[in-house]
Amino acid sequence: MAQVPSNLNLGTGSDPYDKVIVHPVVVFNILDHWIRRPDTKQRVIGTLLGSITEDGNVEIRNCYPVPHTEAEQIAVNLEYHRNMLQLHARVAPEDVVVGWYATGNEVKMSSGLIHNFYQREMNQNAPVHLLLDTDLSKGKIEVTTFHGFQINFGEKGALQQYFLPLPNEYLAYDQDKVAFDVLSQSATSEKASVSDLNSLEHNLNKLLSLLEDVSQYVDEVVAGKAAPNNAVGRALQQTLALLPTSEASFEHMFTNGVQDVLMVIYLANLTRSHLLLAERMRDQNAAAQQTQTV
Amino acid sequence: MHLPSPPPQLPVHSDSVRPYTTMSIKQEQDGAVEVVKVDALVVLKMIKHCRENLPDLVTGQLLGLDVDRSLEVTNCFPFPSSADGEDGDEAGTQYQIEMMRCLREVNVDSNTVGWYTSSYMSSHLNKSVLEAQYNFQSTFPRSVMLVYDPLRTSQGSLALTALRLSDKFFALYKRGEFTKDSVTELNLSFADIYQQIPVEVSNSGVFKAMLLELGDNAAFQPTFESLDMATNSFLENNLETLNLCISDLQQEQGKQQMWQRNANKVLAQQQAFLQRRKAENAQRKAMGQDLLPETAADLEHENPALFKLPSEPSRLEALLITNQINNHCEEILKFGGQSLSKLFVSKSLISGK
Repeated sequence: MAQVPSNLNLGTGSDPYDKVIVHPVVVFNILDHWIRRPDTKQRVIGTLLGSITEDGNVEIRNCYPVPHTEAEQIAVNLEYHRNMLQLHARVAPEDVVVGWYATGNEVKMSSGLIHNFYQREMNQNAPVHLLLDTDLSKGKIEVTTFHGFQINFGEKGALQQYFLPLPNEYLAYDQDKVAFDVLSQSATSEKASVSDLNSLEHNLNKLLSLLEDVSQYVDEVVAGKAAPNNAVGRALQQTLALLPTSEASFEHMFTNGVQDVLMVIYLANLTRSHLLLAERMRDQNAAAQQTQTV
Repeated sequence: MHLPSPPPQLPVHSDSVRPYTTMSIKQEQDGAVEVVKVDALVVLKMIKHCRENLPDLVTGQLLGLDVDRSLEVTNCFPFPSSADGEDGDEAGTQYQIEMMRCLREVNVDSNTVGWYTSSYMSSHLNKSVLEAQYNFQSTFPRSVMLVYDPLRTSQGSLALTALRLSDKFFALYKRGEFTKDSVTELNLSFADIYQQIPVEVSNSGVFKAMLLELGDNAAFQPTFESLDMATNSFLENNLETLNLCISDLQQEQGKQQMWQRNANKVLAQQQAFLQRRKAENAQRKAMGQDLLPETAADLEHENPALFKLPSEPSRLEALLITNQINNHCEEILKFGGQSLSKLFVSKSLISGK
C-alpha cells in the first residue's frame, strides 16, 4: 500500500451498516437488464430500493435500471430515475432508495461521481454500491457490495470516494426457496414443468441423496477413514431419537392418517360425481324437451 | 383489489434488441397456446409482490413474447392497489402507460401477454376475475392469466397455473345471455369455462449460471416443507370453503326454482285470461259486436303486467360456483394423493429400520 499523506483524512469511523441483505429478485433483475443492454454499452447501472433495518443493516428488496451515458461525461437520466421511483412507490411505499448497482468487475473512476449523485438523492445518507461481476473474472458471478467513503483533503473538501467492501448475504423466504427448487431444475434440465408431484418427487430425491451422504460419512468414520466429529454425531443421534420406537403407536398414527385422507378423498370424489351427474341430467332434460317441442 | 384492464395500444418501437418485438402488438397468430414459458425473473417478482401484500390479493401485468405455440413471459410489473375510488381507473391506466414506457426505454419487451393475480384457495374463480380476463382476451386473443397461490407455495409446491377462457365460453360471454337453453345448446359444462395451460420455467444462459451458483448458497437450501406430514389444516380449510361454496350453490338453485315457480304462475294466469277472452269473444260474436284481440302478441300490448314473463336469472353464477367446487375437489384429491404417498414412505422407513 502506498504511503498515505498525514493530512488526508480517511477517518476511523465504523462502517455505516453492518451488512447488506440482498433479495434474490434483485440479482436476477440486474442480470436481465444486463442481457438487454444495447450493444454499445459496456456496463449498466440502476437504482437499488429497500430499507434500512433497525439493527443497522441494509435490506435490498428491489431495483430498476436507469439509462446512463459514459462517453466523456457521466450523465444519468435523473428524470427517469425519479419517475420510476414514483411508480414503484405506488406499489411498495416502504421501499426507498438505498443505493445503486453496476455491472462489471471493478469500481471505476466514474463510480465515484455516480455515488455522489446517489448520496445527494438519499439526503446525505450513505448509499450502498452493489457490483455484479458479469465478466466472470473470478470464474463465477460474484456480487460485491461497497459503501463509499469520502476522502477529504484537509480543508479543501471532498476529493474522491473510496469504496470499502461490506459483507453481504442473501435472504430467501420459504416461498422463494420452494420456487428456487423448481427454478434450479430448469437450470440443469432443459425445461421444468411446474406441478405438485414433480416437486414432491424432487424433494424426496434430494432427501435420499442427503441420507446417502450421511450414511457414507458414518461408514467412513466407523471404518476409521474420516475423523469423527462430536457435534455431528450428537446431531445424528438426536435426529434418530425422533423416530418412533414402538411399532404399535406408529401403526395407530399411520392408520388414523390414512383413514382420514381416504375419507376426504371419497367425499371429494362423491361431490365431483354429483356435479357431473347434475350436468348430464340437465343436458338430457334439455334434449328431451327439444324433441318434445319438435 | 385493482383489476387490470388491457393497456391502450402503444406505438411500436423499432430499436428493439430481438427481432420479434417489432411485431405489432395485435397478435396475428392463430392457433392455441400450448405452453406458457415463464422466466425465473417473473416467478421471483410475482412471489415477492404477492408475499409483501398478504393477506390482500394483488394483481399485475405480464410482458413477453408470443411465439408460435408458446407464450413466453419475460417480465412483469405489479399494479398498485387502488385505495382511491374515484380516479382509480384513470390513475391505473396512467400507471400502466408510464410503466410500459419506462420499461421500453431499457429494452424490456413491451408486449402485453396477460396478467397475474394471487389467490387463496381458488378464490380467483369469481365473476370480476372472469370479466377482467374477458376484457384482456378480447384485446389480445392469446393472453393468459397466471394464478399464484402464496400460502400453498409456502407449504411446499409452487402453486402456479395458467388459465384462459375457452373459446366456447368466450363466445357465450360475448353474447351475454346465460339462460338454460343457451348453455345447453353449446353443451357447456362448468369445466369448459377455463382452459388450463401447462407452465414451464425457461431461462437464458446467464440465469442458469446464476441459479447454479446460488444453489450452493446456504440461504437457498431446500426446506423440505412439502415432506411435512401435517395434513389436517389444509384439508380442513379446503373442506370449510367447499361447504361455503355448496351453500352458495344451493342459494342459486333456490333462485332458479323461484323463477320457475313464478313463470309457471304467470303462464297459468295468462291461460286463464285467454280462456275468459275466448268466452267473451264467443258471446260477442253471438251478439254481433267487434271481436276483442285474443292473440298473445296483442294481449301483451294491452296488458303488459300480466303477459310479460319474468326474466330468467343468469346461469353464470351457478356455473362459476360449480367450477369452484370442482376445483376444491381436485385440490383435495391431489393433496390426498400426495399425503398418502408420504404416509406410505414413512411407514416403509420405520418398518425397514
